[in-house]
Amino acid sequence: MTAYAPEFVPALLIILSVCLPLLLASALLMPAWRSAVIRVSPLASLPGLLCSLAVPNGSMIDVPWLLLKSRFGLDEAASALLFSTALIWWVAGVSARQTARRDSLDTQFFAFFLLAMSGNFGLVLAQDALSFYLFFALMSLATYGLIVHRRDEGALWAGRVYICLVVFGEVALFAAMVMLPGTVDSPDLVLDGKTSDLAIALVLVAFGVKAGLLPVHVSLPLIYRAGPTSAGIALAGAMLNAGLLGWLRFLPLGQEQLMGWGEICLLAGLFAAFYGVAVGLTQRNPRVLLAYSSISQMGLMIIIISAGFISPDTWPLAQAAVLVYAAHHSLAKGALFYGIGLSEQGTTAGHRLWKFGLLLPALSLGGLPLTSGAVAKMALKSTVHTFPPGLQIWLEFLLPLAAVATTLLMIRYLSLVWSHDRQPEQKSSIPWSWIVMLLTMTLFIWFWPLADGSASASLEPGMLWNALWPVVLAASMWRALHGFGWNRVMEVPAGDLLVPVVRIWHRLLDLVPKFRAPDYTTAPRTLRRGLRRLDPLWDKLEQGMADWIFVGISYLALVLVLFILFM
Amino acid sequence: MNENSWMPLFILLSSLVPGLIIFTLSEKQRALRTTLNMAGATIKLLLIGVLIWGVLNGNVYETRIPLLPDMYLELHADALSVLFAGLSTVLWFLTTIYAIGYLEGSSNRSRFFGFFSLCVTATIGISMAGNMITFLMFYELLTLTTYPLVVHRGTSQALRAGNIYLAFTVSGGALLLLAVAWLRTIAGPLHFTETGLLSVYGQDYRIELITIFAMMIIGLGVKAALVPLHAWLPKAMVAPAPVSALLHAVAVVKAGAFGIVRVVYDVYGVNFALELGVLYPLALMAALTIIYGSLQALVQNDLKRLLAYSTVSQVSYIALGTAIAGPVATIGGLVHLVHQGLMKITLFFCAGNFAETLGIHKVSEMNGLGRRMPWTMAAFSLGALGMIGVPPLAGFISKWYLGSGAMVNGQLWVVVVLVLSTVLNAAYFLPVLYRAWFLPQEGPWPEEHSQLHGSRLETHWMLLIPPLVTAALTLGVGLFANSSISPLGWVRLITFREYGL
Repeated sequence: MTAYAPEFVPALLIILSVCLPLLLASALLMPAWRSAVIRVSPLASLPGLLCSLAVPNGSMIDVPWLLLKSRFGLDEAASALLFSTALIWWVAGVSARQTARRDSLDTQFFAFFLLAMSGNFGLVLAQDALSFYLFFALMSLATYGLIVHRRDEGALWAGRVYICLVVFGEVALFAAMVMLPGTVDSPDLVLDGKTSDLAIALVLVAFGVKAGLLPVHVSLPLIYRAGPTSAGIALAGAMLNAGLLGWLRFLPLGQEQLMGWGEICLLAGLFAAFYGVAVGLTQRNPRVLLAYSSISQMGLMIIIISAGFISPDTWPLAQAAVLVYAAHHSLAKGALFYGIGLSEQGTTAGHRLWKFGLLLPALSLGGLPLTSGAVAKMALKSTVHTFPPGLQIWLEFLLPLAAVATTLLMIRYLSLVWSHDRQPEQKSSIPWSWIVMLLTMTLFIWFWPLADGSASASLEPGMLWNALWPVVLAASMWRALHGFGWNRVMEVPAGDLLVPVVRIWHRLLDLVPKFRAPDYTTAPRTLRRGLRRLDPLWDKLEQGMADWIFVGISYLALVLVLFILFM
Repeated sequence: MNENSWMPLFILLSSLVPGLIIFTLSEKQRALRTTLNMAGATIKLLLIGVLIWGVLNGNVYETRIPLLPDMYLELHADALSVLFAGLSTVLWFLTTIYAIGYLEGSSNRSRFFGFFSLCVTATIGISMAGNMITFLMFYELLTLTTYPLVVHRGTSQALRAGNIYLAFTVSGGALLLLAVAWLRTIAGPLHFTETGLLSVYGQDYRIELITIFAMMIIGLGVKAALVPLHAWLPKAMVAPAPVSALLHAVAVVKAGAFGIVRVVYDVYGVNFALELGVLYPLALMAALTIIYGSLQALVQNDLKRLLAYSTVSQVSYIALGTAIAGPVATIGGLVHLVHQGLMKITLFFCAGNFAETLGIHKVSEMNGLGRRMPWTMAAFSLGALGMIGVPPLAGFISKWYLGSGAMVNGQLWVVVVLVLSTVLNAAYFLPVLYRAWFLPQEGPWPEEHSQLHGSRLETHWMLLIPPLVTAALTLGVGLFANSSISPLGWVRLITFREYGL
């Protein structure tokens, strides 16, 4: 292993990115410091932002005593995602401060907020498997506090679904990690040796929970809806990418051709891209709509990832593409979410700048020429060119349709948000953080070396046209749909698949014959219902084992049984 | 005899002597009793510190007292004994502080602290026993000294629990005695030997050795709470909280688990045990225990019962790691000896605090507790998350090595067991945390102790400090696992020696 000796300032920035939010979170323990900490909490992401701008790629610090030897630093993937992550957390922090109610729940909220932020930075900067796992777990668990913040029924239900999926993801990740090839004592991120199919499946599912992979996407719509706007911005903008980064880190991408996995990812991605839009279009709540849009966009990113299995030789190119796409999506999604929050607060009521400002991220997701979306679409397209011709033909046909679908969904979003816009009661104003966000979102792609190739390619006349027509088509289709009275179409309940699954589960529990029902209070409700029915048996078993005679008999029996087994 | 040969004896005496003196004190001599307690605990802590340093530098510490011809009382400090002795000493120190605070104003304190000290003496004896005979003597002593602590409250429920405890442990001890006596006729004095001592007898006594192994594991399995021999443990939760801490983390179940480790590694030798084929059934039994304990914990409302079943489940991680064999899994099992101790004692301290401060015994009464007792609840949360195995807490490191060790040996089913156990742990611990942190308080607390009103602390400082320290350790040993002074570092050392690497 090469030893790295980074200079003082980069090292300090890397450490502060992770530790400053942690320090601020622990400062909340002091009642006297609470209001001050809440005031400065958006700045907690500042070291991360500086880190992404000033620290060169390849800066690493080794922390030999941490966990089983940790390493933090920036490689291509980390530095690509760090910028958008830091910006999103800053905006989320500003939004959280705007809506703070200055009560005791606020302290709890900001504690979880800062912990989740630290987890997010930590996992982006982690360069070894266990550190990644550590910060991923920190972020996942802390996010629970953000989701249930409102404590209403919807929030608690969303929290329940979320935490179940988090535990599911955690154990899948644990199992995957012990199966991945590598040394136990200092697990590296560099996978050498063959990864088993089971491990690949587990990695896909474990991070799919975060990244909205079908069918473990069900918590996404619920949690986007349940939390405050700030939580939504962070979830949609930054934390979604944690799942993506997990795939990039742990899947054996670009190593050898695994056609089977490539095709599975490709199909899953394509399906998700259209499924997300289809379900999203029926939604009345713009937050839920954005969740489905995320599921759909993530599908497109999975298509790029499948290139790592299908054409491993050109994987570096595809990885750059997926990073560009992820950064673009995260900023656009964050801006769209922030837009909803601003309209709910009423500060921007009737403001023209707000209305037209929303057009920017919405159309950018659709891939309008000159936006970051057009560049991201270009990157996607260039990846598809590395696929075998048989697949290419299909994708050339389907991807523009996906762009049309996405644009349709965004128009639907705009119509929902705009129609909720109230008449101004007082003089409305636009927070400057929103403007900064929009400007960055529009401009960053043109100054980003990683996106250079795609950016210039997207400006060629042919490409401009390719990017333009889906948007125009979608806009005209929307007019038609609207004429049909789209609003009357049935709304698919948020969490789609979850609804029948929960219903079947309860049915199944009802089939178990009923017994006396004592008051169990620790187990989760559904599990409890099942166990309650087995209770008398359960009790009898325990009582029996405490019986004195049982002691004698069990010794004899056990000696016999073990003896037979040992033979 | 040089000073090194006195060292193990001194360590024993540092709790034996104060214990015996305390028996003679009257109830009123509170200051003297406390001084003796704390002095004993502190001296032991210092001596163990010296011992660890010495063992690390390769010194040999051995005390030998002849009992019968060819039979010695032998105290010997190797790396493995220091692991257990160190854990017990540190936790005993904290438990003593806790017990003084907990029993403030209750009756029969001299009796309690007397047996308390004897109990720790026995535990240290077990950890430093140099042969099977010495081990057995201290093992039985532990049974006898713990009984008065279990029945300390003298209620009919406590007496019943005590009876069950005795029935289980005495008969388990008897079986162990038989096995040891039998083995002695085959293999002589049974010194604990790194890499084992029985492989030379494998040819002639195969069936005998297998039977003896089964008898020993069952005898030890009672204290280690292997299903179906665990039933005494949940009953014993009627004892006061410091005793529960002693039973679950410091002494009793640990003695059983430690005994299994000794038998597998230092009597049979892990490679020989593998060859005999006795480890696979042990692994199955451990796996069954892990799942069964968690399932029972899932349906408990009484907090201490829940924790007791959680112990049943978690202690078997140690046996599981031992039984999977292979250095990596061994590290996982051995390090869990320490990690489980730290986490479980934290949880029991906290449960004791809830009961003593607010009269809370049931999970259903814990709504909103995080607001009333944030520090205790924070410590509890760390312990609980550690049990689930969330990184970077202690439990995660154990789980990581167990899982990796299983995969190294190609035993996928062990990973499945670990995954199931994690899910079940989450299913019974997370709802507790949810109640305490996210639900509002419902009505007044069951029995709020008024003397604490007006205090700036949420509870008596002697009750608050120990769980905070152990919670910090739970975090520390996981977060800094790779530092040389962590339990993991020490366990790696043991493992290299056991496998002769």
